[in-house]
Amino acid sequence: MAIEVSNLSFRYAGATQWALRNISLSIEEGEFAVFTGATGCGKSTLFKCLIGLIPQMYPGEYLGRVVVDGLDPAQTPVSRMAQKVGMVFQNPDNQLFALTVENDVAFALENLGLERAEIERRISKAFKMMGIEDLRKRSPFELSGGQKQRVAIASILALEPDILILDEPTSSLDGATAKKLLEELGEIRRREGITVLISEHRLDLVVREATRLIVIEEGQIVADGEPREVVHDLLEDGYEKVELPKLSRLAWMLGLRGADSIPVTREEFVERFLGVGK
Amino acid sequence: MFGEYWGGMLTVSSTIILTQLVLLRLARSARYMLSTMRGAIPLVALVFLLSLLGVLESAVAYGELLYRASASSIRFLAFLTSFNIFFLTTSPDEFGQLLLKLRIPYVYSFTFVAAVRLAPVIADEAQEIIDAQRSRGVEFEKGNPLKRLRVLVGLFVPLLINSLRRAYEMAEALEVKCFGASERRTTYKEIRATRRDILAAIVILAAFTLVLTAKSLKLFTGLP
Repeated sequence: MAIEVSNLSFRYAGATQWALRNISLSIEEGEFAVFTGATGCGKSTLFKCLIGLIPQMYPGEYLGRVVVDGLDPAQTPVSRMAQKVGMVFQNPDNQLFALTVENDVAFALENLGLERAEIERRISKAFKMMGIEDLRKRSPFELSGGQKQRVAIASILALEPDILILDEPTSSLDGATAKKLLEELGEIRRREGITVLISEHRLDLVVREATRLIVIEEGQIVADGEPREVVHDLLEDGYEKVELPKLSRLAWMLGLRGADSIPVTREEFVERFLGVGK
Repeated sequence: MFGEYWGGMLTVSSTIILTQLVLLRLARSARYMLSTMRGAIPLVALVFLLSLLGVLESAVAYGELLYRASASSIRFLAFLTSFNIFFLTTSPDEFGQLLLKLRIPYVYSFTFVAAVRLAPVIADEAQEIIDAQRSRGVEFEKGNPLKRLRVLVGLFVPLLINSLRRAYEMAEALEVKCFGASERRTTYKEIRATRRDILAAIVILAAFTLVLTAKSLKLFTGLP
């Protein structure tokens, strides 16, 4: 098991509301888990618990237990966790510190004190994985939003983590750029066998890659499972708080229902829709 | 009347300019330099005028007056160009590495590089806030100085709050990038002195010695 969360609750120091309430969750190696839910529902807080930023950097009331790759993030130094769990945040501008892309991707490796040859090997691999070899000598502030986010992801991939966590990586990207990035992340997961956890509002863009869909509302998990089943259950319950794939909703309205047959992608929709006529 | 002053000044100014021209050739950034220097012309003119005013009272000879004003302008210009050359040829990354080589703790050189990195981000943000405030009818250019100062509060308070939030996000990002994890941080790129660097050092040293010798030989007459 890559991640095992049991009965986790957390309240930030000084807050009256609990940010996470009794979360239990297990994620297996190699999964592509998509977390969704309204802004402020606790997705980021949960992610911060998985790498140990909570409770180490943010004090508060912490109940329950988390095990990530055999380590307890509440006790293990973040720098040690970070070598197993890579975390990419929303805003790339606040994650890039150097004045060339190359130095930025090397930054974490320099901090670890790796040898120059090893740094070179790892960053070349990370550049290749994100398809940004041509940006190596550029400066981060002359890049587009999508390019910056790619650099930010490459800088974390260079740490060669087993688990990659991305907190709303596409929030400042346009739909097409976001879709391409998410598909490539799916590709990296399949090829490298790393576990990916991602929070995303636009399920349309990411449902194709997902093996797991987890819906969080006010610090609680309200749905968790195989994406198609979750989408089906939410449609059945008339749940309106997340942006479900539009074609699934349309299929539902057209009466193309069924827990194991509701379409979540375009191809499935077309197949299902044409299938009806036959 | 002129000769005794001009002689000295021409020596100094020509040494400075010659040194800088050679350095520019080495750095291959003469064109950038000239374009940034163009912006400095009003400042140099201001210095010239101010020094003219400053010595006006002391009732010195006309020639010496002019000489002193020119001398301060040239001194100012030399000062500007030196800084210009430094920042045109040395990237903050390299400067940070230099600090590291001088065994100054990494935290300080990192702070310096991060500050340079953030300058354009914060400038963008300030522009956004200005635009947002303008669209609400705030006028930054109008009114008496006191009123203008008050309007600026509407720029600096949001900027400060955003910066605090940014500081938190950066701290998180630094944590997950293992900042300070190893006692012995390595560097991916190492700075090495190339032939051009050594040549530049020699030119600077030569010019410096030249000026010092000239001064000790009292070649600069009338130099204040």
